[in-house]
Amino acid sequence: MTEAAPGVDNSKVLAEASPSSLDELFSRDPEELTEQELGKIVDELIAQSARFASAEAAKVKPPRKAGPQAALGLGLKDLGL
Amino acid sequence: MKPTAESVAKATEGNRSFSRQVPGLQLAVDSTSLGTFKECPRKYYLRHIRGVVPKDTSVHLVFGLLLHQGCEVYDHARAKGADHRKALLACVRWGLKATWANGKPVSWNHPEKNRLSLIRALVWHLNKFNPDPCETVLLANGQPAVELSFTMSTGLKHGGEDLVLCGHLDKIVSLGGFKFIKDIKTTSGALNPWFFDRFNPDNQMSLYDVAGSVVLEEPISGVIVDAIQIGAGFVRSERGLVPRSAEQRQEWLEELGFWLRSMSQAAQELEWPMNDKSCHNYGGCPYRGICSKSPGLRETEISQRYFQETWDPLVRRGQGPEQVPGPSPSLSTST
Repeated sequence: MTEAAPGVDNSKVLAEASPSSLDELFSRDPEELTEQELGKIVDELIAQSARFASAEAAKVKPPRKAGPQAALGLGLKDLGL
Repeated sequence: MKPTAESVAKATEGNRSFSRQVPGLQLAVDSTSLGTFKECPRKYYLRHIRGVVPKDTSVHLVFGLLLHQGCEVYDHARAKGADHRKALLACVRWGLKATWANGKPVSWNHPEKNRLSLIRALVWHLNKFNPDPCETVLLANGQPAVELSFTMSTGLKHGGEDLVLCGHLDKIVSLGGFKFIKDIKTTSGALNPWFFDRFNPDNQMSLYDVAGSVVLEEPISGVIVDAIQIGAGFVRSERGLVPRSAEQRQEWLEELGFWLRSMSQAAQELEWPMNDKSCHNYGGCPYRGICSKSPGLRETEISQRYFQETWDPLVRRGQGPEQVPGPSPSLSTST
């Protein structure tokens, strides 16, 4: 089972950092990548991670809906169970 | 399909973990082969004796292996004095090279497990736990205690041959003055508080726990699991503790005797029956395609949809100690 981060639109979180620059770096022979270019990949991914963490922290959990038990004002004891 | 002494001896002739005296008797048992035997003797026969592997090897296995190896590259770099960033760069370069073949990126045709998500998982996970309160233990030879191969006696014998446990530990760490085995698990499912419950009881974690005490020659406090959820465009990492008490450890070792004797009995009788209650676990057994066929059709199925790969747990990884001396007092289980 896969799961999208609840309450977080991942496509938006990652949109700024799924840029052609990363695509371009990923499409190149890794032997030819310089330390600076590798650093750019790392920086981009860390920035993505920070945005994702912020988005998750900011999401507000909706209040729990009252279940049928609460709605009816009955509990198991009321039913003699 | 019916195994004979000759066919089993031939199937395992290049595999050092098997007895030369009793065809089909595995003398060096790791958590994977033990776990497979517990799950289904027929599956064990196919995978570990015959060396039969599905051609469509699971992308999840490959992804998990690469993630382990990437973290190992990071750990080795840190142990050699690299700072976090330099070690991350080394790890990313390794990951990109490991997923590059024939002049182009390797494609796994999977929406969530691909080259980008592998590199993302490594960077997000390693960066989340930096600085890491779990410090990698350094061995006496100065090497980090990472990807340690171990072999240890169980104190059990079959016909004069020793039965040993063996395998590979991801890492031994120190946290708050206590020593733990650390392992990484990847999942596509959600990381909730119950995720870590699955590791207690758990065959692999119990074996790691026992092995850790022997490798370090001092008691360990259990296993720390770093769980990494690979989602569509995101990664979550959580760390959980899988404790084992001394009594639990002893119980596992006592029951290990039962399982090793069962493995010996199966080899003596050349009989590895199906456990048809486990065919549908974990999304379906990869050998169901064989077992679902009439016996006369199974070899054709194997030749068409499977390939041969020896599972020899005595093949060592990393630069761990040559041999862990044994038996440990805690392993003196009687036959």
